[in-house]
Amino acid sequence: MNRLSIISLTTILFQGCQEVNLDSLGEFDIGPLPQEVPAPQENPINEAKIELGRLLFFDPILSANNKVSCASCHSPSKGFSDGLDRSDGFSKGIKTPRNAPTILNAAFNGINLLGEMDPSNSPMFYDNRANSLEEQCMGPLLSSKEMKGPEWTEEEYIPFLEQKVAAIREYRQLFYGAFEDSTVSILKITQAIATYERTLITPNSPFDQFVKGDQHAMTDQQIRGLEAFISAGCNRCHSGPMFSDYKLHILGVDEHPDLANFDKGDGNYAFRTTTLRNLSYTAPYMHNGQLKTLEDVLRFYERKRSEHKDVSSSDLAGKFKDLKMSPFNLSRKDEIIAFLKALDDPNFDQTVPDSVPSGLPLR
Amino acid sequence: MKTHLNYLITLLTCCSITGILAQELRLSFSSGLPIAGEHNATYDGVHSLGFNYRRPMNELWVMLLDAAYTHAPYNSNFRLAGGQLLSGVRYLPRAKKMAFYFLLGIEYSKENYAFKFMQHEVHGSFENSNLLLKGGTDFPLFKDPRIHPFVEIIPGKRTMIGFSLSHSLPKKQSNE
Repeated sequence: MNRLSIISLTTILFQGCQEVNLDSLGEFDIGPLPQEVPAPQENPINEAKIELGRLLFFDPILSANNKVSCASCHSPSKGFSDGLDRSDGFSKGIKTPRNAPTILNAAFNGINLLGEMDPSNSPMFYDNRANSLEEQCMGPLLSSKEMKGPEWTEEEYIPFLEQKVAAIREYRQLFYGAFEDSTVSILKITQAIATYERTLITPNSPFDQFVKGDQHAMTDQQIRGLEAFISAGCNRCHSGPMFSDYKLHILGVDEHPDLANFDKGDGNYAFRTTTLRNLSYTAPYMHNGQLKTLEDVLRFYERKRSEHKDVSSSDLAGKFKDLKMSPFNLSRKDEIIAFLKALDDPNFDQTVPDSVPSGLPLR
Repeated sequence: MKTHLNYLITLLTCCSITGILAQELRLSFSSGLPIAGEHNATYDGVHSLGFNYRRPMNELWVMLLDAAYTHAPYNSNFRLAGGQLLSGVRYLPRAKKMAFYFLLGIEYSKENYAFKFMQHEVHGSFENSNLLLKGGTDFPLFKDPRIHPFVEIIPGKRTMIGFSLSHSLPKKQSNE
């Protein structure tokens, strides 16, 4: 009997001793970003257009009061976000209703598991209300809380803006270089800015390098974190090369206390899964910046309950409630945060032009 | 597999030496639950199979030497295998059945991992040698085997609680 016990125990022990068998592993639906971004047929990339888009991006001339530029909320030094829960808007006292998402890698929005995407059908904003970078650019330009201001109607503001930009000789030349036509239109403005944004990508994070075969690109703790991230089920929504399924989910994040009206997202309190890339530069988190740190975010996911007055537990996304943040794996949070930092890539263009064609001070 | 063979050979050598010198040799099987440290994030359970050499110093104190093969089989992406070598003392109060022991030693471990992503496969390993502290009690279940609740600490790597069952091998019977 004793011998039998010893043999049984030894067998059990050595069953688990082989190398991890790749054939028995499920395929995880996360992966590296491609090195290049596709552009829509109607807006091909060229160097002159990138430079024009870059200058327009930093130029406050695009706002009605000449004080707000795209870079006001999407600052290169803050990972093309602004570090605020809700961004400062058109003028003092006006705040945007939501947190400014990073525009790093926004050009990859909608990329699927195989790394394929259609740049003309690429979901934008926290509620997926725009379908391309070009369409997204139009949003802040014509928003009363951001660049247009409350005093203009869209119909009045568009020709006003086009005239303001066309009045600057350097811009006329730049538009000619980019489009072989010096006419300024709001469509061309958005196309140029979208083209610049297509250069703001970070496809060489430690995770990307690790997946492509560099075993030393991630630390031991980050590799453990990758496993913990998958085991906890985070990749069920944070999937694909952008770590987002680009779907809308109801999580019941607490409302921002300063908002007069509840932000209902798509109308049902659902918001899009955000990318997990470059999180170190883009705090605070969630659509309204209500969670200040990654630790706060992980604690929110551990609680797995609605913290919004108007969202009941039964409304919450099933994948959210099914997260496996086990109370026995106390260290899992630290490892997952370490892994999330492996999705940072500081090698993006952080330069700011010395001046812009309007001559306005950079903001 | 080669690494595992190396562990086995080392373990068997240790066991042979201790077996020759042993006053009492026990075979033990233990299971533990990592409750903190890096391994807590990765492994739900760690098992080990080992030999425990005992040499009495006096009526109360016994010198211990432990050699064990340890592994964690339950994570589909990670596997841990390692060898432990520990020494320490065991104290059995007079007229009591429950003894206390404390061991200090090293664990050499290798963790193999593998991931399969979209169109990419990654596998690798990391190896570590760490100081290991272990303490616990032991008391008999009937006459033999004995059961040993324990706490095992590898600083930074894992804090683990668990229990072992040990059985005396029939070279020399324990005097307890």
